[in-house]
Amino acid sequence: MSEKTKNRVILAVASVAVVVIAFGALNNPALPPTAEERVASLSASIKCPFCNGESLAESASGVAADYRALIADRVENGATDDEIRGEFAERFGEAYVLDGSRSGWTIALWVVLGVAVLSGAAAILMLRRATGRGEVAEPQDGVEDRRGARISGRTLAGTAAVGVAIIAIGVVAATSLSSGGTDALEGVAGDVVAGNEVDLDAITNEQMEEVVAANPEVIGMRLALARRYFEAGEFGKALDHYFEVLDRERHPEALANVGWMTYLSGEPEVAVQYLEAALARSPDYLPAKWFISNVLVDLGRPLEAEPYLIEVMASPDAPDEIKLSAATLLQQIQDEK
Amino acid sequence: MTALLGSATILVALIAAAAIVVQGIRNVGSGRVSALKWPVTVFVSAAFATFVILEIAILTHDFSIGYVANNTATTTPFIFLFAGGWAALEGSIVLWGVMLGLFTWLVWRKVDDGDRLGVGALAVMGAVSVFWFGLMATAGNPFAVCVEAFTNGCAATEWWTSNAVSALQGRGPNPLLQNHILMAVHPPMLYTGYVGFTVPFAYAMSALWTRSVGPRWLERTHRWSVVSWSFLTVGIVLGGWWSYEVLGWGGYWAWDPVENAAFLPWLVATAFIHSAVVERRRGMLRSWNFVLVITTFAATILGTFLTRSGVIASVHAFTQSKIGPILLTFLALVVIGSFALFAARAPSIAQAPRLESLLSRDGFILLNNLLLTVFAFAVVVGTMFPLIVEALSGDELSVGRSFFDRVAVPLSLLLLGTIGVGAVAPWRRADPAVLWNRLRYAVMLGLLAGASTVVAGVDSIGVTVTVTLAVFVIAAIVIRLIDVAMARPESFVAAAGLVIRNEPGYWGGQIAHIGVALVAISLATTSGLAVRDTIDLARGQQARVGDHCFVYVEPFERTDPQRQVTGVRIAVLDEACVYVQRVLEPRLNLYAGTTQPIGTPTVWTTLREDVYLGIAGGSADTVRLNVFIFPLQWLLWFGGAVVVAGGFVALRRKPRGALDASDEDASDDEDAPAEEVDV
Amino acid sequence: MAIAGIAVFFAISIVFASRFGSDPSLSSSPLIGKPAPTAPVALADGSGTVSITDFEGDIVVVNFWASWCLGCREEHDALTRAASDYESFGTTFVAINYQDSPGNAQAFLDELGTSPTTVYARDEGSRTAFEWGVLGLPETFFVDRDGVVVGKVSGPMTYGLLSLTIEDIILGKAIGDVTTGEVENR
Repeated sequence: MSEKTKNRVILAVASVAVVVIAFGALNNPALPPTAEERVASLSASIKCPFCNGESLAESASGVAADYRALIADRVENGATDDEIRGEFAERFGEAYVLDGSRSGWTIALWVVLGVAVLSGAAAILMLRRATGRGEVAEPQDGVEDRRGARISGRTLAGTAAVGVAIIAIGVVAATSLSSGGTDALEGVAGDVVAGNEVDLDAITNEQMEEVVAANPEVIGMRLALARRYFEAGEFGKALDHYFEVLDRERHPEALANVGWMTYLSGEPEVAVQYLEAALARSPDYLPAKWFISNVLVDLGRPLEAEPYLIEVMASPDAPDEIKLSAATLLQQIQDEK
Repeated sequence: MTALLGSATILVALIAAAAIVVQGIRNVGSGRVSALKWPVTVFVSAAFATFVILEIAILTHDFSIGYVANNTATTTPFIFLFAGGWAALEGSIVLWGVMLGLFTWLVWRKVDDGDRLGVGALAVMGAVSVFWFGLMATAGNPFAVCVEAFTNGCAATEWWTSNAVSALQGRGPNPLLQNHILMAVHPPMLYTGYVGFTVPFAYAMSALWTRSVGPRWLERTHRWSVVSWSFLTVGIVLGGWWSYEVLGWGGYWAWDPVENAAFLPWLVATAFIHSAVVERRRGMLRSWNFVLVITTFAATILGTFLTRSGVIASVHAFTQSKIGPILLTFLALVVIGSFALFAARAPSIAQAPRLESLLSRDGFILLNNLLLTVFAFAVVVGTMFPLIVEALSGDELSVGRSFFDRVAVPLSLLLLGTIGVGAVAPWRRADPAVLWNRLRYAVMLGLLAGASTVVAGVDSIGVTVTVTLAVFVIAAIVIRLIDVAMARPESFVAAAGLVIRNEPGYWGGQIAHIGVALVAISLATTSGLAVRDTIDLARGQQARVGDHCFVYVEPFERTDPQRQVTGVRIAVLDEACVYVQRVLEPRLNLYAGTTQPIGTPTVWTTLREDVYLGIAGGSADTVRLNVFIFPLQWLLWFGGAVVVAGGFVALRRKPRGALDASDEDASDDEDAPAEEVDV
Repeated sequence: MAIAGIAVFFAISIVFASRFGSDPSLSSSPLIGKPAPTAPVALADGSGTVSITDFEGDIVVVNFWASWCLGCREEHDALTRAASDYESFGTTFVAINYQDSPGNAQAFLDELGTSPTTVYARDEGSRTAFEWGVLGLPETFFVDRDGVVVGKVSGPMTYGLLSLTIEDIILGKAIGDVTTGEVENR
């Protein structure tokens, strides 16, 4: 076989292999992580409070086992990874979440690294350039293998193609490794049980009812469904689902919306209790602040409503019309004073 | 009495080390090494005596010594008793000291009269020893006497007192440390590696000091560097193995600050032994090698500091101690002193030939140095970052796995790629056609291997890419060996043997590279294809995980002198739950004097995978098991062993009058050990 | 460049030096100033559950302990004395047993005594410790009459510290984090 033929055969085989690998990389979208994998990765990313810097996944202590079980419960109940990490951060402090991405400081970390890489690369290039183009390269020491020295343009192109393919695979690999699995939509119920994000807009109320009925432990979807009923004014159905949620977890959204519906049904005193509970559970929950300020004004306790209104107005998340209403209400209160 | 004797030997060693420094400085001009004979002899003997006396105190259960009372007990088995000599803080410093003694002696043997470089190096080693024995004589005295005793253990110690009190019984070693034999081996290996880098550092300092900045110091220390690097590798691999076998969480590396502290010098040292080859072969990178050797030594001290000062929370960290500030001071002296000396001499370090082409072995080693340095930098920054942020802003945060993995995975894959090309590229300037000729089959084989993982149904792209690159590396090296050997008249096997024997440095390095590729494959499969599950089983009940079925057979109990063992027998069956393949016995060990049992997982290793069982809890009739299945886990330990074997092959001396290089790869030099991959 | 490097090194050294002697595994409690967790916890005698909301209007002292914890042994007497001494001021003491076997816990109480004015509870599955963000034992949280966590003491307490803290809360003074010593991990 001539060198040329050999190179052709090699490039042909290599190209087929590249196609197969690329096919494997693209046609095998990372499956959504199972509940067990989520528990494993979550516990690896949370520091065990009792164990000298070990993560929950690594520690053999009893409390780490308990907290892993707790994470498994949360996952089963439909909490997202960020919510679960957030729960730990809220109780133990940010330092217990082994994932810098929760804070802006991590960006600084990556910038520092980037600068290091660039300056290193620049140093090498400077070393190279300092040689000068005019300098004549000395003959290579030793005997070189010249058998395949005549090389066709096609071979070079082939090598480049293989190189590009390898880099492409690398990039795909790096992104899929770092993103840690995307959310392929395969059976709504399956994903909800696994706690994945699902585009709920595409699903009808009836479908959601089915999923919720089949998986009574799932909270995320039940909340979404209840919210739909709540927004549509179907308070009876909304209340059923919210109470179902509250049986399992004192979710701030459920508490707040139940409170508002209670107020609308003419029981402001009870409503305040619900809304206060919602705020106790989640002090920054905006709708609860807006609701409670309205109820308090209605109850003739405007002074108590005032701080909530100010917070609503100061919140960057509040929609403009709410801010406007809050401002009007606040003006009224201050006028009355 | 033992205590007094031990403290006395420490003082003698300290004084002798100081004498080495004084005599070294006085004689560095003339190179008269005979003036150092007595100080070195006394120092080495005293260092050994310190260690022997500590061991005697431990083996005779002298509980009037605080260290002995708090870290050993009469019920401790011999091997852990012996390992007690270095298992805890003060003992580890003694081990460090005795290693320094050993290495000082080995260096001294090779120094003749008139050897200014050698005398200077001895003086630097003496200075390091002064610090180390000074630490022993002050804040870290292993022979401090117990003045207030518990029934088991010692509450308070003093340097020396005639009113010593003795505990009735010792506290015994930390249960985690007496649960596995590896704990007796892993630290000495790591320390040998750590302390070993004192020698290249000492020679480098001496070279700067005596203004002999040529590559002579590298020639003289290259074997030291490779030996130390090999021991460091053994230490890190054994540490991962210990973690895997004992801690029961089913992993071997967690990016814990102390793990990072061991990994850091390894990364820099790996860069150093590669760039040292470039200087010895091509005369380039002279200044850079000084920077790397200083950084390696500083990194070993930094690692020691992080482990022993209590500034960072870690399972590995010793309890808080008073030695932190002293170590920090020493670190500062080393960094500032040695870089100042380097800066003062920098203008006289000759500007050597420049890099001719990036496409050459030189170019790829430079790339490797860049990647390793960035890697090391990322590890340092990631480890320190929480401390720095807290100091700057008061914010508390943690940098964990996700950051390190995100940095390590791409860097490791890139490094793996550079190994394959760099290992077979000619020096100075590679003709692309020549390079392609040497690599074409390897490229094909690597891609075929990657494609076959896809065909075999592996759905982890990380595994596919790693296998592609690893097979590429292995094939490139093996094909190179075949090419070179086939060109010889002997039969192929004989020829290959001769080729390796004639160029032990180069081929030792390539063996290490093959080991690194094997390690990389295992890292990918054990992280990308692992199966993890937690199952609850009642007696007689079965559950399936992966391709196996697990049946809870029965519980069992056993009483050893130092511990109470409770465990369960679990039968491992095939997927269909028909044939019993193996019976495993995961256990909980409760050590005397402790209340918390230590889990002891069991591992069943086959060529295909490890089946790993640990007890996670349970009640009277049920057991909760952590089940892990790690494909190709054995390859990690095997690959590690291959890396180390490569390091030791590289140490073989070239045969005298080595055969003509024309049929060898003339573009190769001795010694190019392994690249990185996180262990 | 060398100078810049040395400056950075100095800065890092100072960071290290500032950490000497502090326990790196401790951090301040994010719970302070927030409403106390209200999830119910099982009573030690198995007769039901109890929640912080059951003591609305009281100052509640929530102490986490275990029989294996030496500091808990040390502070036990102070806690039982304070529980009866301050009862008339409207305080309730809740002692929550954590990561322990019921047998060992009972033996501990039998040996060191109990107080009739303390509620003994048992944390099953560490859920309560999670809610409170317990980092090590012993740890004691102070909840004011409005149900807000106003203070936390890590490490064993003396009677003096305990009484001062309670009196400060009665007077409406801020408490914050107090560390008295090492907390123990298991």
